Amino acid sequence: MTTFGQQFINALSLGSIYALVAVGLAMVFGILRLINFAHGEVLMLGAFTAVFFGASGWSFPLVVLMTVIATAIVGVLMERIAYRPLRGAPDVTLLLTSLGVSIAVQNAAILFFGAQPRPFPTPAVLSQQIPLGGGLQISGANLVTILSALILMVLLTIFVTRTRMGAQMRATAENAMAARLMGIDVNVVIIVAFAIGSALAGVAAVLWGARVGRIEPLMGFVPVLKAFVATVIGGFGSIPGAVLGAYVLGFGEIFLVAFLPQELSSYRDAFVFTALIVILLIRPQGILGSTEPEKI
Amino acid sequence: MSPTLALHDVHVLYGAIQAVKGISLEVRERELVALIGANGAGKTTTLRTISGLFRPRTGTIVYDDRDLTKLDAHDIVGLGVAQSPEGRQIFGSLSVRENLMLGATRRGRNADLGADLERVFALFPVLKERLGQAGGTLSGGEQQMLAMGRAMMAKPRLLLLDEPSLGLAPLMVGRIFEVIARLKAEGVTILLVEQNARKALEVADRAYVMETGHIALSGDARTLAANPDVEKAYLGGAAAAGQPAKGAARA
Amino acid sequence: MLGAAGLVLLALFLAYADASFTSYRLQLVSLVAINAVVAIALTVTSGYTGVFSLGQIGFFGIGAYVGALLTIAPKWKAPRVLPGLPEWLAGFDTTSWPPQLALLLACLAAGVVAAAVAVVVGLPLMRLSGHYVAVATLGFLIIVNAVLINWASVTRGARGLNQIPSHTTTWVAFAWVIVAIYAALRLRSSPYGRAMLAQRENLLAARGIGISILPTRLLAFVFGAFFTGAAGALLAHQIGAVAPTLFSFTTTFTVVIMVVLGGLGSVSGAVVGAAIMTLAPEFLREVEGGFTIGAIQVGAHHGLAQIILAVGFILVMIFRPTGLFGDRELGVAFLSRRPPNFDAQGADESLTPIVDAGVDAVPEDTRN
Repeated sequence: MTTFGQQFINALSLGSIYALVAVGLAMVFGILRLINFAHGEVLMLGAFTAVFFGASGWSFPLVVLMTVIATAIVGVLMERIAYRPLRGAPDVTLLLTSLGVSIAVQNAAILFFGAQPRPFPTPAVLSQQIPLGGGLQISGANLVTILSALILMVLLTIFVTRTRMGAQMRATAENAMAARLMGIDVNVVIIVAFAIGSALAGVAAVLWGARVGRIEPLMGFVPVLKAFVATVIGGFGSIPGAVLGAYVLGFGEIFLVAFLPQELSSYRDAFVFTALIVILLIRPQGILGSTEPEKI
Repeated sequence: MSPTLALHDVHVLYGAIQAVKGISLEVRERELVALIGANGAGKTTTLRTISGLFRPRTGTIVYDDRDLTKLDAHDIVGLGVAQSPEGRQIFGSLSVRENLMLGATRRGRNADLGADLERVFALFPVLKERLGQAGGTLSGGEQQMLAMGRAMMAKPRLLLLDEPSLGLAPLMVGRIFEVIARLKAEGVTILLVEQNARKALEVADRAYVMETGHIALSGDARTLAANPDVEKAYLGGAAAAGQPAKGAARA
Repeated sequence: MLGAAGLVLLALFLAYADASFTSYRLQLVSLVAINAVVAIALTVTSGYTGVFSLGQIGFFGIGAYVGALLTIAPKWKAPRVLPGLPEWLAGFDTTSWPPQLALLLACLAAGVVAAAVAVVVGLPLMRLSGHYVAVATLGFLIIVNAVLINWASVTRGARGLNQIPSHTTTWVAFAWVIVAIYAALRLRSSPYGRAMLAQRENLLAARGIGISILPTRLLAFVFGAFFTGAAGALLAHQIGAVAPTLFSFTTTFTVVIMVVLGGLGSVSGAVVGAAIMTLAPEFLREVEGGFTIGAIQVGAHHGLAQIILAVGFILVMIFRPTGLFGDRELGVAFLSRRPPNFDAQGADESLTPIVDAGVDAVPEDTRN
């Protein structure tokens, strides 16, 4: 039972990080139909920002703040430089361009920071184990991860459903042409989507760094791939779907590893992607997605 | 007095196809001008070009002494040109209230919209009952009302209506045209695109007939309605046999 | 005529290369050919059909391992090294065979196994379209990678297989290029190929004239898998060792760039793209300043070179989204005139509305 509880906490924490990354993918996909592979590089640059300010002796909350600002700027710049000139281009062109951005940024990071992993300066308070009673305990990092994801998701929900910009964003995602006829400046909406999604990726970068303990230029690939699976599970472009998908994935992964025999658990990623393919085949619109994708 | 809207020799390419081949037209203040013609004649492209969704290849579109061809769609709405697009294009997952509020996007964060909402409800009482409902759950006729009400929320000086009667049951068509007549009586300047030429010519002051990207005929609505060529081409079969099955009706 | 002249030129070049190139340069020439086969295969799978596969390199990996396991000498694949191999394969000995016969067998077997996997994978996946098929095929690649890393009793895991005989020569590699070009061009002018192009242009219309979509796409997928698998075996016998990292997502991206750069759907474009993407890092390496090893690894990180290539690719996407050749083939007609449609397309780009509004042509209600 303790094992189960411990795994449950672990899964909740992992799912929270995936959710923070997946939201950014889903927001951008909803509006632009762009699968932004370079979202992982936003996360990576966030992690390096955090290490830079952490090493400069800034306090942890300030480090997080600077990271979030930096990733928001990076995301907006990516949109402005690489994606905006391609507005209206076919889906595949957008997808390939985001792969190009991803590779370019990865290699730029290798050039500037070197390929060697660096330790992540996790504050001591995050490494502490906090007893929860009943033999359960939660690490500071997991607690912060779960709580910050919860708070940010509530804030995001309020933003999307209760504010003018949130309504403009939902309108643009549903029908960009009609949105423009309403006088909505679609470019502003897109910039806001990139900024918010990238800021959340910045938070995820710090949490991921604290979880894994080290960072490197290629670190963005795995979380973005998982987040991507989460958005597929939840339904491309649906923000609540992406969050739900992220937790489904977090639990799936942790419990596969925990309860499969040792020799099979190393196939974790294979199972995750098999599940992805099965979902695409039986319910391509995802758990919460409503639009039926083209299918032959 | 210069016209509210004047198109001069506007050419528009849509993909590789030239959809609009040099049209000129005018709408004066408080006028209701109809743009009629067959499916594919370029009427919708013309309206979308006025709204800034397409850039014309050549030509000018002057509204209030400003050339709209240089402006973005959202700025054109800001100048007071609102459109109720073909196929209604309401936001199905957003509530009726949110749809209406989005129509007033360019009027700013602090605009007092109470009076405008009341005006829309006066035109379309059913929308008041549906305020909290998702737009997608409305019937086709109600969605058309929402689309027009949403455009009215921009407090437009020029209202572009694209096929407001398309795919609607005859009773609903009648009600939509009643509202159009009422808006005209209230002094709204309107450019109306319609395939239902008979109805359009009944309410319009003047009309232009479009054929494959050109203006084929223009003039006083009543004169046009009496023109044997127009009668034969647009009033004979179309009105009696109902609309072509474009954009199937959603009950 | 042109084809025969090209073959003669190619033969002269290869003879010259044999006589005067360093072994490192010869390897590069072979790599151009191997990459060209993969790029041609992807041109068929994705370019002809419009079904975007990010899983192509999965077949490359399958082919490389299958080919390698056939020709590795029995003492290197004995049960104490690879306990998971079936007995007949562990004892299968080609060391006494003529090398080219062993290589041919390895390539064919690799191609057939990859094609068989493609049938199984493609049957469900080729029903999907657009983003969904890209995602699902990417999933396939990751599954292949996980298997290569974890099935250590057959693949030696992350360490990979070595002691693979170096049978691949520039001649045999280019022979495969020629076969692949021929097959791809023949396929395109066949009814099957025309069906692929037709359903790419307009799914509904293609269905309307009686084309069944799934078998058409599946054929392209399996065709691509066969040649990619065979190319994998060529690669294994070129570098003498294979490891899972060779068949990563980065490699996929490199091949995708080759195909897109040349023009999605153009076979000669794929060959040119493969040559550019294989040789450009070599030239760009000079920019990085004297580091000349590790050139073999298609997916290796070259720092600045990769950045330049990626940025160049983004610029091509922005300014010439149809690639260098578009759909067209290199030939006399191509050389003698300006590309058709280019101006018109350029003009379209600036005029095409931001949203995909289906003016007058599409009933709007179909969107909801």
